[in-house]
Formats: sequence, C-alpha cells, structure tokens
Amino acid sequence: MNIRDNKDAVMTTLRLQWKSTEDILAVPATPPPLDYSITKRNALKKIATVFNPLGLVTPFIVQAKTMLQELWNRGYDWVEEIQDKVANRSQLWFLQLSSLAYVKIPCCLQNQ
Amino acid sequence: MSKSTTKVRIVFDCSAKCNGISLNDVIHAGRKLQRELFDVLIRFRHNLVALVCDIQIEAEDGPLFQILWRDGETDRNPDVYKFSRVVFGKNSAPMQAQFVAQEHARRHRPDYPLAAETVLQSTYMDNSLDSVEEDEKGIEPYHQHKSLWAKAGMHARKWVSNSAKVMASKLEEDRARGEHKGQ
Repeated sequence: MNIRDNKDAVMTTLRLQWKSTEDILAVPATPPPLDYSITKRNALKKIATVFNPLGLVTPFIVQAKTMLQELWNRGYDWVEEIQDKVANRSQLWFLQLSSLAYVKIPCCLQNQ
Repeated sequence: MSKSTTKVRIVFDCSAKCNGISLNDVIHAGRKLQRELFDVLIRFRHNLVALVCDIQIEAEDGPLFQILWRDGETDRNPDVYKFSRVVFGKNSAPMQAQFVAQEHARRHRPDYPLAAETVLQSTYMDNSLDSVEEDEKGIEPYHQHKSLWAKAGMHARKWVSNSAKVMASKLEEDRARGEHKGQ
C-alpha cells in the first residue's frame, strides 16, 4: 500500500473499515432495495449483516432487535409479510442503514 | 478478505462424503487457538499508534496432504498435487495456521519479543493488529515482524499505521532495500 498516493487510505481489517490516516473506524452497511419485503426472515437477514464486534453501533442495532422481538411476540411466521406499524418502523430503520456509513469512530477520546 | 493480495481463494469442501465418510470426519480439528476478536480489537484501539499487518502463512507439510486429479481422463494415472498454503475448508485449517504462527513466535520470542507478543496476543487468523504508545515505538515492531517471518520463509505484508512518522520510516527503509514496489 502506497500512502503517498492514498492520502485517505481506507483498509478493511478484520472486516472493520479503518481509515488509517485519520485513525477512524467505520461500520458501513447497505440498505436493502426499496421493494424489500418485510418478513421476519428478511428483517433478521438484513440486521445480521451489520458487523458490530466492538458494540460501537449497538444503540442503533438494538432498535432493530426490539422490533424483531415484537414480531415474535405478535406471532408472525418467518415468511409472512409484516402489515402493521412495525413494518413502518422497520422500513425507517432500513433506510437509516445507509446513514451508518457517516458514523466515524475515532480511536481515543483523550486530548492528543 | 484482503483484495489487494488475494484475487481468488479456493475453499475445498472437505466435508464432501465419499462412501459415507468425509475427510473432516476422520481428521482432528484441534482446539481453537485464535484470540478473541474483541480482545484483538481492544488491543488495536488501546494506544495512540496503531499497527496492522497480515501474515502470509505457508505450510511446510505439503506432502502430508495431497490430492489426486486426472481432469476427467479416466484412462491415465492421476496427477499428484500438494498444497503450499493452508487449505481452507479443512476443519483443522484454523488450528494449523494459528499453531504455525504461534509456535514460530514462541521459538523466536527471545530475539523478537515485540513481534512475538503481537503474534501471540493480538493476531486473529492472518491479521496482526496492535498499538503502541508513541511513534518511536512503532518502527521497531516493523523490523521485528519482518525478521521474525523471514526466518520461516514467510512474510508480514501490508504494513499500515495511523502514524505518518511510522509509515515514513517504513517507506524509507523499504526504499533503501529496494522493496518499495509491490508492497
């Protein structure tokens, strides 16, 4: 890797994105297509793609986890299309997935 | 997976059964030797100067695991292939890779204590991630990793640090040795 040509070198290390020059970690995720049908299976599938080993984006992920929990409580089947208000919340959450790319986590919080 | 060094990685299905038995059924997977991902990441984020590289692990026991292949030509004797890398898909692959790396580090710990520490404590499969307190302490691990792996005919590649100083002195040295290309 040539740092002179790559001032903003972003590398993936252990599946985390690391912008080495700024020492910033990022947890990018891709939102599903707009016509993604919200079923319990699909929701779980997408939520599980967010790689979060350090728990840095847990405040966001936990929203989706409680939605899943709610779907279980309401007795939905794996492939059943979700029709109630949880569907809207899920849609919103999926849309926000793209914003995750803007979350930058610096290494140290202390003065450098 | 590292795109810059690995274009294609073949994974063999060692769980494929032949007469009801697969290779993975009859070999021992060994125990889990890799550190916890979380622990490695915490070490990586612990100090101000972060260091990353990956290890090109080569297995020297190629003759112990060979495959026969005759490309569908049933009227001839098969060719014999042996592997020069750890074979992915074999249940013992993670243990083999980690054991080779860790044992090598243990043997050479007296000469390369910093590199050995990183290999033993802060390496997940072929990725070494660690951090040190200041720029000055970032370049010595680079020497040590290079020398440590050279002893085994292996390589520490894709060395990256967040410290411009560390990267600059690394570049300088690589250039002095005529190695600035291809890394």
